[in-house]
Amino acid sequence: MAVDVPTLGEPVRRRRRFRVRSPKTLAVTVTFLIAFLILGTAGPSLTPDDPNALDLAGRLQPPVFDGGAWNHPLGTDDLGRDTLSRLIHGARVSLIAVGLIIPIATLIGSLLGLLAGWFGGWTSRIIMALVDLQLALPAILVAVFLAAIWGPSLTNVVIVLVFALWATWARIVRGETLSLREREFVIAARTIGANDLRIMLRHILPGLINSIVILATLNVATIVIAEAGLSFLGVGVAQDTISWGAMISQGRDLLNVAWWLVTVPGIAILTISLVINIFGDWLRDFLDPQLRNVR
Amino acid sequence: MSTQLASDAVARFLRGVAVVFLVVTIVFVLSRATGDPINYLAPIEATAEEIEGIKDRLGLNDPLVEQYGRFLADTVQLDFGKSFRAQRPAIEVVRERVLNTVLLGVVALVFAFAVGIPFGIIAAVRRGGGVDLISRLFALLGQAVPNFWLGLMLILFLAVNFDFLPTGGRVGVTSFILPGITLGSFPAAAVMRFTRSSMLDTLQQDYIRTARAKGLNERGVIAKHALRNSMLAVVTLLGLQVGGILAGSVVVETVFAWPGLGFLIIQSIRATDYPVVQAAVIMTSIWIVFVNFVVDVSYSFLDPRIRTGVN
Repeated sequence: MAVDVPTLGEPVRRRRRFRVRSPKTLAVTVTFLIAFLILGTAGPSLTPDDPNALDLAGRLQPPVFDGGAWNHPLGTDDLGRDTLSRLIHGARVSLIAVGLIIPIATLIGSLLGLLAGWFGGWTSRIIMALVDLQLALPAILVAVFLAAIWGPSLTNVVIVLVFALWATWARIVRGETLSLREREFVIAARTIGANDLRIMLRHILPGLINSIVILATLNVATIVIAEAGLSFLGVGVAQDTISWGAMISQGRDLLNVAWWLVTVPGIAILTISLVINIFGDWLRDFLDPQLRNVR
Repeated sequence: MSTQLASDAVARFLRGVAVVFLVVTIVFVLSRATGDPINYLAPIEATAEEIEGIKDRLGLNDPLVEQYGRFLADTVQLDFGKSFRAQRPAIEVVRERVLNTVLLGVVALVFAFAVGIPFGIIAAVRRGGGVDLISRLFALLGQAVPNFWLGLMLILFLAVNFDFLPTGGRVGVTSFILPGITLGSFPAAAVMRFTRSSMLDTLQQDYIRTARAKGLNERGVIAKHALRNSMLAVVTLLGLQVGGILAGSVVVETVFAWPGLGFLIIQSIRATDYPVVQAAVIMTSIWIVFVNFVVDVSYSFLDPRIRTGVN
């Protein structure tokens, strides 16, 4: 009885053909991430050259694949400083920024979101007003202002980006808390007399962990890019700190003479962000398919 | 019904005013209550006497509460002091640059929608096809490429090969091209993704099936039934982009030395011209709040469904 089953409309085609989820992609991604972590932490002691060592004879030497030499594989800048060494040292700043901002923003945002979702009423109204405030005050303005009164520093970057990002957690966590608090197990806990704190920590929080972790991953690339942007403008890390954004800013005036000074750090930012985002997407699907439309 | 609309508008307006008040307060607290404000409230080259003069005039020796009152009064009158560099009221310096930023922002938005909407439609209609693939590739890259770097790459690859493209400043119509593309490309990706998903949603509605069932050709279904209904959602995206454009313009204007507000802010930081920085920061946040207010109110006016969901 071979019967043609009539189909209604087009068959649903899996459309994520190119957002590859194969184990191979994941392996490549994780390898890149581990490399980034190693370079960011141990890198500075592994670098071939002192990133601030001047080599005036070898100024503006192009990368090795563009006619340069192996003593400076990625070329040198106008003071003869080694691009590769500076790139590796720059990774550290990105890593420190991520390592400081993610935990702080996660903690503040999740806590406030949890409080707003659980207590509702005025608590929620005040917290959501703070979320609104952050919308009216773009991070870049805060960064500029802090740089104007305190001078550029890594501390400013951390403050600015925590300010800019905590609301992401607050919004999502609040929403999920609102739906969790109506669930039977929460009502049951309340019935047997558990207090607010206990319910929030023992019953609601475990249900939020997935989303919190996913948001953290998805914001890593944002932080790397934002730190580079702020440092590029001169309102990020202090002037003498080596960072990818600052490297691009310094190479800018030499764009027509030494293309690699701007291109190389940019490709570093691009690669890391891309890899982290792909990993984040994978993690999101792995932990919680419902969150697919978080951003 | 209209009284409901009016009271909504008033409520939103008051909320906007509250946000501006908060911003001004934060600026005051940070600038007067941390460190020694004279470090940036006086020009670097000021003598000891001049510094005393400035302290007297600003009342920096008075109690903070009094200073705060004066600060609020000055802000309401848009008096942010004199620019150290230009020796003119800071607000004047800021005002001169606004038009250029607005023009660039409009160009960027036009680019974003002109590119994003058609590509979004094609991506939705030919789901899984070439355009869809490319558009998703761009979306993925768009989240990984810093916009200042994109601008520099455009200069490196385009301006060098096409002599008519200026790489900085505003010298004519062609000056808008590179900064406009740079500033508009991220919103373009957002518009594209949004159009695509909105179209996909609409294409699954019952009335689309009905339109097909009555024998309308595919072109008619898409142009008349799907497109119009999905555009409402896309228009709402316009308001969301304004804040992003303003924030992005600081970076993009700096890359292209565009004589707008964003570049002014960065120039003023470098020249330690504090009054201009402060004026620009406060004015920009007021504009953002204002634009959001206008957008909110006009949406609830256009779409009754938003109206009911206000609270």
